Amino acid sequence: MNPYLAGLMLGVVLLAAFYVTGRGLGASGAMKSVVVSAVATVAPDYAESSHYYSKYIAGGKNPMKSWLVFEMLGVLVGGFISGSISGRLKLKVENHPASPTASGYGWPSSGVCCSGSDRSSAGDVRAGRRSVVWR
Amino acid sequence: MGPIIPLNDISEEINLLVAFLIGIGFGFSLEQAGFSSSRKLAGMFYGYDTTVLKVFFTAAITAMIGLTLLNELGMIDMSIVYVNDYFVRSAVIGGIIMGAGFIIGGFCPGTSACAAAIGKIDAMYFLLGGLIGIFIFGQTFPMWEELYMADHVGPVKLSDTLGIKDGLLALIVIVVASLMFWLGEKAEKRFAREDITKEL
Repeated sequence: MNPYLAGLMLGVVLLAAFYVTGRGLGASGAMKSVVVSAVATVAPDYAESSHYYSKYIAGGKNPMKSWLVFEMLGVLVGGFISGSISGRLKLKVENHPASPTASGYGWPSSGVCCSGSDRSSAGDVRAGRRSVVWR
Repeated sequence: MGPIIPLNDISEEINLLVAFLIGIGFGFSLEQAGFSSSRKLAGMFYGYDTTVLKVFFTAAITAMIGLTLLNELGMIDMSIVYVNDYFVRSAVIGGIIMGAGFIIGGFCPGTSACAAAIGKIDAMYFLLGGLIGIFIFGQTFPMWEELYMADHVGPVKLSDTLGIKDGLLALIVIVVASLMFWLGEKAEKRFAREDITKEL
């Protein structure tokens, strides 16, 4: 789709968000809610005493029952609908045309946050280069 | 008179349903713009694909003009609209980290959700990485707390800081954006990478 047209569509969605609900769009807040919920479920006493997590679960409130979480669920559905009508539904790793199809896209298990694969940047990607991002 | 839900005391459940519907619109627009492709997103930084610039600036201008007009016509109460609190240091540092993450990973949180929804495995790893990063932040929070809360200037608007009217700022933004679009189109020709863009 023409990017300016897509931008117009997104702008209308954003404007509707402001006009109907009084707030704009967002994403990372929902991810935070997921982490807080997970920690509170696995270790509730720790979460309650933790300086960071406790403020999100104070008074028994459920961090998953939040505007951004529901909005993000909508994003997943909307993206899926758009992908299916455009024929873009495919389970795959997007990599640089020249890079080998070797495995190793990211080290989530090493406990270090690797945002995506080392082959998502389409410049001179060499297999084996790893990236670390904290966010 | 807007914003509709806060002014009419509508239930929280309806608000969450509306959030879900708006999210569908958001995800749909992002995916239609092509943001489910990390190569397209990363292209913003290499110059061969400035779709990010075009889409987001167009969206910002559309919503900005809409809000300015609604405000002038007395159809929205801007004092109720939520403006994020501005913590200067966190915003700058977070922005730098996010920019680095964007070019390294080829996604940002919203686009990674939309790409993961259509099956992109790199997007799923990106989301996982983001969750791990948030977890690490939470676990080490005392180390960051002071920095996190520093320079709190509240929900400020650029027009107030510059001391100009909203309408004038809107005009300035439109002019700047038009210039950026022109530069973007030029950059795409200068830094073209047909081997990548033909597949997008």
